[in-house]
Amino acid sequence: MFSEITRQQFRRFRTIRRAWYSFWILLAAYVLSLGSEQIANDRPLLLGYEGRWYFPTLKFYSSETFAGRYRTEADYLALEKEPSFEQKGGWMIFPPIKASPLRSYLDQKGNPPHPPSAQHWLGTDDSARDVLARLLYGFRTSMSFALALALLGTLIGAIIGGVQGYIGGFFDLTAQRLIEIWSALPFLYVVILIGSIYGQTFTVLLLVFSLFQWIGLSYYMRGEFFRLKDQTFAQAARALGASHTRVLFRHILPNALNPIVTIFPFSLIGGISSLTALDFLGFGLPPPTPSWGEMLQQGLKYLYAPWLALASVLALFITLLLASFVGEGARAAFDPKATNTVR
Amino acid sequence: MNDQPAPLLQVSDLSIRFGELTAVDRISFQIGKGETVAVVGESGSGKSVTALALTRLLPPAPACQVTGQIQFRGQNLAALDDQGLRRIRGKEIAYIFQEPSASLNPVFTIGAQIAEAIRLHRPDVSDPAVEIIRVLDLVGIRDPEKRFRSYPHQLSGGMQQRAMIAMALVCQPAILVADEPTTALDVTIQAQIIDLLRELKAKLGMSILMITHNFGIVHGFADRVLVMFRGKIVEEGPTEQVLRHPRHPYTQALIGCIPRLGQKKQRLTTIDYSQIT
Repeated sequence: MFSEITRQQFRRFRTIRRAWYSFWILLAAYVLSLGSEQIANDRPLLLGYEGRWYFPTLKFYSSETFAGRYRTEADYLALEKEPSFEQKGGWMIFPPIKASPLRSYLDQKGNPPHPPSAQHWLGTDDSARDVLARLLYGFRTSMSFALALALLGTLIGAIIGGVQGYIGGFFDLTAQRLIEIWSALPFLYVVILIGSIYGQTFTVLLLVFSLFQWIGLSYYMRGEFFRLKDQTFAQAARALGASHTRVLFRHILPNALNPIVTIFPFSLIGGISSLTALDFLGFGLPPPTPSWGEMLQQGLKYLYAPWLALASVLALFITLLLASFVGEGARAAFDPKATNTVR
Repeated sequence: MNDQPAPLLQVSDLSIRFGELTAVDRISFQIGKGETVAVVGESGSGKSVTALALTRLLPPAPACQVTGQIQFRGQNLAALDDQGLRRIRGKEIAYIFQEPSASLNPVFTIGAQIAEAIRLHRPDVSDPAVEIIRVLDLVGIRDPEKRFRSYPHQLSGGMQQRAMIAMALVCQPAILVADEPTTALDVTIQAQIIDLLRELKAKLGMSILMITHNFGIVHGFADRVLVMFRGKIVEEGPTEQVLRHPRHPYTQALIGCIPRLGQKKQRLTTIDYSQIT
């Protein structure tokens, strides 16, 4: 599938240490965050009670299971302190961060936001929710959103730009003007409008964002296809009896992967920062979804509680920096003009 | 067989216009079964667009206007839809182009590209790998089992052109259109490719439409020669006759340009266009 040149480009990407390590750190962090429930939770990973084992992070157990009174989910933090629980041989192993992003810890001294303590390493926010847990879950949300957005945008952009470049002529010019009009739409208002009609869910936001995300890439793909469609191998494929769709996607597209690979990390950055910005303004994912933008806003609101702003700004800064390093490395590695230079 | 069998391909009154410019002006010619026809002419004489027009590979109207009739086995290709044409392209009329390194897709192996031709036109082949190795061997590529997995850039120009020929031949076309197949290659490889084409033609009995500006490779290869000049066929006839007794002043001038071995040191002949009408 990959040509020698592509493999060489991947090898070169690996030699750019900063990009290579950033890539792995980011990937590892994301994979870890996919299991956030096992890392930060107010439910125990493992619970032993009357000789049986329970896995509360994975499964729902009602309070009645542990001799409680209600059918609702057991409150494990309260249960842990229950003397009768311990008497019946109950024990629990909690995740490393013993806090859920949605739970309010109001049993502390003072008013929220609480400063960092042994229990809440990065303090709590204005609803007394654990900042570290929210940071972790927020990372997962941001990255998932940005990844899905970048994938969707790449798909749409590659298809539209590719078809434009391949057909060319009047179709291309018309499409180009329409895209210009489309890109002039005030994005924020569209998001607010559609969000208020259909609700600001993850999917709705993703779809609205992707309506605009593809435009940048489509310009590059259009240019690539313009160049490649007149190459002899495209004509040779036609002369062999391949259909237009086949030439477009099977023969030309694999030759036009450079802009896709180089722009992808930067779309990721764009996705994370736009979602954060939207959350900051209050038009993003609805509360109480853990989100970095919302935390930034709190940080601004409670300047006397610097852990809020510090935690969210640092997290955002590090993530964007790592993604930028990856993007920078990819751009250098996949630069077609650098193929023959000796590094 | 009749005394006068219908030609395999009959082109009549073919004109090709790009806007104001008339690239090809009402030309007619035919190719018989197993015949080798050479179209000779200088750059811009319309020979390559003629070849592409046969299966409508030129840009669509209004950029390019093609009129006239192209009868292939009694079917008018000029009136065929895209799907019908795709069944002709590659399967019946196959092409090889001037620049082999550009004609092969750089991201796929030689084997994968020949496999595509098989996939498109040869549903009868049950094991493509065997067939690919057979044609690679046929076009004289050594180590076909290994070359099968090579990318185009790993082959030399001559090998690339052989792979292109293999790709064209795997569908067993009735006509092979060779658009300056040797121009991008150096002289010794040129001779090898021409020999290969001659040999394959004898073996497979296909017709060849050879497009070239080089009279040198026409001799001993083509049965018939068409000389094109400014979009018109100015002379047509059996190769020997045209080469020995060119009638049109352009043909005479073109043949006069061929440098000969043992020629006295002198300026190479060029064509004085003011003498040709």
